[in-house]
Amino acid sequence: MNCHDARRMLHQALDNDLSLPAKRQLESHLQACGPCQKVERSLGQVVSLLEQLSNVPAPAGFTADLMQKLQQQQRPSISRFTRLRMACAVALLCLLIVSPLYVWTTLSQPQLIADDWQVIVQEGNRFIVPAGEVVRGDLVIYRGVLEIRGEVHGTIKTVDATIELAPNGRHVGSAHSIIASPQAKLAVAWAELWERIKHLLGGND
Amino acid sequence: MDWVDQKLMQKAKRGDHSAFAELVDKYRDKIYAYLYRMVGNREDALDLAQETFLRVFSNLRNFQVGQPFRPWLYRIATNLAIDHLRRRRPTIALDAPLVDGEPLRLELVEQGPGPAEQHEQAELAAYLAQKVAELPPNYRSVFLLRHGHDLSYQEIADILQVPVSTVKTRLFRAREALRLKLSEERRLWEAECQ
Repeated sequence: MNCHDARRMLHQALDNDLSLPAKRQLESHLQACGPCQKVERSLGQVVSLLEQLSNVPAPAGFTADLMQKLQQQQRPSISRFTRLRMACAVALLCLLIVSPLYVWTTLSQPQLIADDWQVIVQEGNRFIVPAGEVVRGDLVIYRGVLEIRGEVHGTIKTVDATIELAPNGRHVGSAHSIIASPQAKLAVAWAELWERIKHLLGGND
Repeated sequence: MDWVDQKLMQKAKRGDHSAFAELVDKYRDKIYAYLYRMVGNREDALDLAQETFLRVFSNLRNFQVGQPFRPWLYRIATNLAIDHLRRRRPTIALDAPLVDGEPLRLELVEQGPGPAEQHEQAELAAYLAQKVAELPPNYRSVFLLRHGHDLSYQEIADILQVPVSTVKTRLFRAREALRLKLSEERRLWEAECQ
């Protein structure tokens, strides 16, 4: 073993990274070699001085200050998860209140479904087919009155509604009167609400 | 594996503040000393040490019971120190010592040596502190973690996210450099005394 090897091994010995035979070899080299003994001593000193340097007590009140900071930090902070949950709860509550309200208002208003709905004029609860106009296709009317001054070519279904035929008006096709059950009304209202939501989300369609 | 730490962390995770305070009490001196040697002044060391424990607290949820606590703690402290040094590096000269002007007081006084030897020890320690401060930060942290804080090669490698072989190389170089500086200094002294 030469001094170069011995010095590398001195470092390994400091980190308990040396096998037992290697340690013995190093020891016998050290006994014979003065310079390497010096190296060993000074390395030992570096390490023990460094241990001393790592003894610097923290200032008094360290823990108390820290715990105070923690308490200040903790109070206003609501976790992101909790905030998300709160937002969901509010949204659900809104939906629960708003949707029956919407259903109720829809059901209390007259409604008209027609292929040619642009032609038809609404005045209060009256739907008027103006004189001279021709409406083609099927018509469904919920509540209110359908007043035909022009012409209607197609089937008319009335749900809680009446048809008034003006002297010059004409209706070609059949008419059905339906008494709506509450469930059916509700189903219609829900369908209407769904259409509105789709319209809101999907833009103009 | 330190079971006391694990118990305390488990309690702290459940929201027990006194268990957390106990952990802080246990490690504050070590962490403060480490950061002091890393950044070189007491004010910054104090701020960084407080920040270290604040981060421990806010990351309690991410700590898995069974995971060793000490390396985790030192990793947070090391990252904060290195960030801090990186941010302020432009303001200091490369070869300027990082230790501030105040005289180094050594709390540890070994029994036995007389006043003269004590004095010599303290001066050597002050000299070494200065030389440690002059090491590049990534060498300094390896060296401090190994000899001041008794972490293993593997733990240091995990803390710094470098291979074990790199840890060994840095340790070897840092130790060798400091040894040479120290024997140089001693030679000068001995020459003066004679």
